[in-house]
Amino acid sequence: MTELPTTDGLRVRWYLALLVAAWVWIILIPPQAEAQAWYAETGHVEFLSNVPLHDFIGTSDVLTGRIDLAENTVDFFVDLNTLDTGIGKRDKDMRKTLETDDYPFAEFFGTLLTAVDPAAEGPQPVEVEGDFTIHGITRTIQVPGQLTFSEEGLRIEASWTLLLEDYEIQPPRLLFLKVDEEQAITIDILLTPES
Amino acid sequence: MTRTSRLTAFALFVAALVTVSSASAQMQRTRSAQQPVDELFWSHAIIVLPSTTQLGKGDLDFTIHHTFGPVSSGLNDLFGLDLAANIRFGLDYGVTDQVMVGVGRSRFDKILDFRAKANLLQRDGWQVAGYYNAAAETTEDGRDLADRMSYHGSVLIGKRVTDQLTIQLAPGFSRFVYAPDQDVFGQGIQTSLNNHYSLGTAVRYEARENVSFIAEMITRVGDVSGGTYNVGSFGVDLETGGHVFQMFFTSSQWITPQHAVAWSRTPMADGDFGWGFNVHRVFGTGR
Repeated sequence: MTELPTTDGLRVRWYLALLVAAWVWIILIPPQAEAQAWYAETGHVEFLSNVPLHDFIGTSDVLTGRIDLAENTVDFFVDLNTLDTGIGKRDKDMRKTLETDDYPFAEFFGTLLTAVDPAAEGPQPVEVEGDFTIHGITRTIQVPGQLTFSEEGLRIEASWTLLLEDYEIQPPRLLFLKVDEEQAITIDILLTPES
Repeated sequence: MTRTSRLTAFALFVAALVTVSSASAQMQRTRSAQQPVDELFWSHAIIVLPSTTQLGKGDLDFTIHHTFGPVSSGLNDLFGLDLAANIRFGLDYGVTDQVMVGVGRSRFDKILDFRAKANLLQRDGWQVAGYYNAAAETTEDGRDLADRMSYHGSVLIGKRVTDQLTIQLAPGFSRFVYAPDQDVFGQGIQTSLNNHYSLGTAVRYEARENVSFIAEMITRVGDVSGGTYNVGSFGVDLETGGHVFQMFFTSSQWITPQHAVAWSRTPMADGDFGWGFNVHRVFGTGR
């Protein structure tokens, strides 16, 4: 003999049905925001350090980036321990200078100041504004760059100059030569639609 | 029970909504799997002993190693600086991040040596490496090449004890193909052995970002050649961009490990040390 459900039992079932509906909505019906989000973790970042007669470049190929056009957010970070200058000892000196044990990431989180058109062909000049953090110091910066939509994904290229003193980074010395305060930063990353 | 179920369902529903809304929040910062090796020593050599530290792939290290005579020689010989100094010029190259090879030439006995070092283990603050050195005395005395050869092999076991303190053990074996008895000044004819066992111990204390204190001891184990002594050295590492300067006092003027193990004739117990210095300059060949 089947027992009739009580009022409380009906409420529980209603809540469970609501819960299932929520998960189905999340899993099966991607919101518009996800459809316009782009992501990658194999971007290229490099910096150029000027030392008299001794310029050198440091690079990393594990730049992680995400752009959400619906939410208008731009988010990038790189593990500074992955920077490679071509000389192991210089890498170690750089990690000491940046105190990567305490401040492992260089990161940016901001918004697009320029409207972009995903349907447009060719590079689109853009500007972003947001918080850039390195060495535990955060400053609001504006960075010019360009976006290119293609079948491969969304490519972003940008460059700007970082002043070491702005982030309380003591310029290292190579013997008696001091590394320049200005560091030219360049990023290049191909984002793909976020699943 | 009913109230609990209701609250649980509602909490899960809120969590689901939070999941959706957090998709547009800042990404979680996660460290890369490509992390650098924790170097236990600033240079691939401590003083006489090799260290577990490797050169990076493509790095070329030019080394000048210089040891003067004993300080006990007094003011007349400027505390050893006027006496014959042993000098070794060397080049080492990082074949990979785990393997390095090198060649060097020392003034004493015109020793030409080839060496190699390979990392065997790096885990939880431990580093283990294998080291090998083959040397030839190139003085013109009519001997065949085979009789000029000597070899040294050791296992380097390093451990980071604290952020500032690292230690290393280096059990080793040295072999001299030709080991005639020696007429040691003031001691007469002394027996020389072909085979030598040794235990190297070393410690480094990082006092400042670019200053470390280093000390090492080479203790012979088992039978030793007559008129020879254990070797002690201590000094300081100074690191500048691109260079490591090592200034030290040592009881042996021999620079290659097997010769320091077998041929050191300065009694450390008498406090008879000589001053020396090493300079390491690293060049990148990869970029």
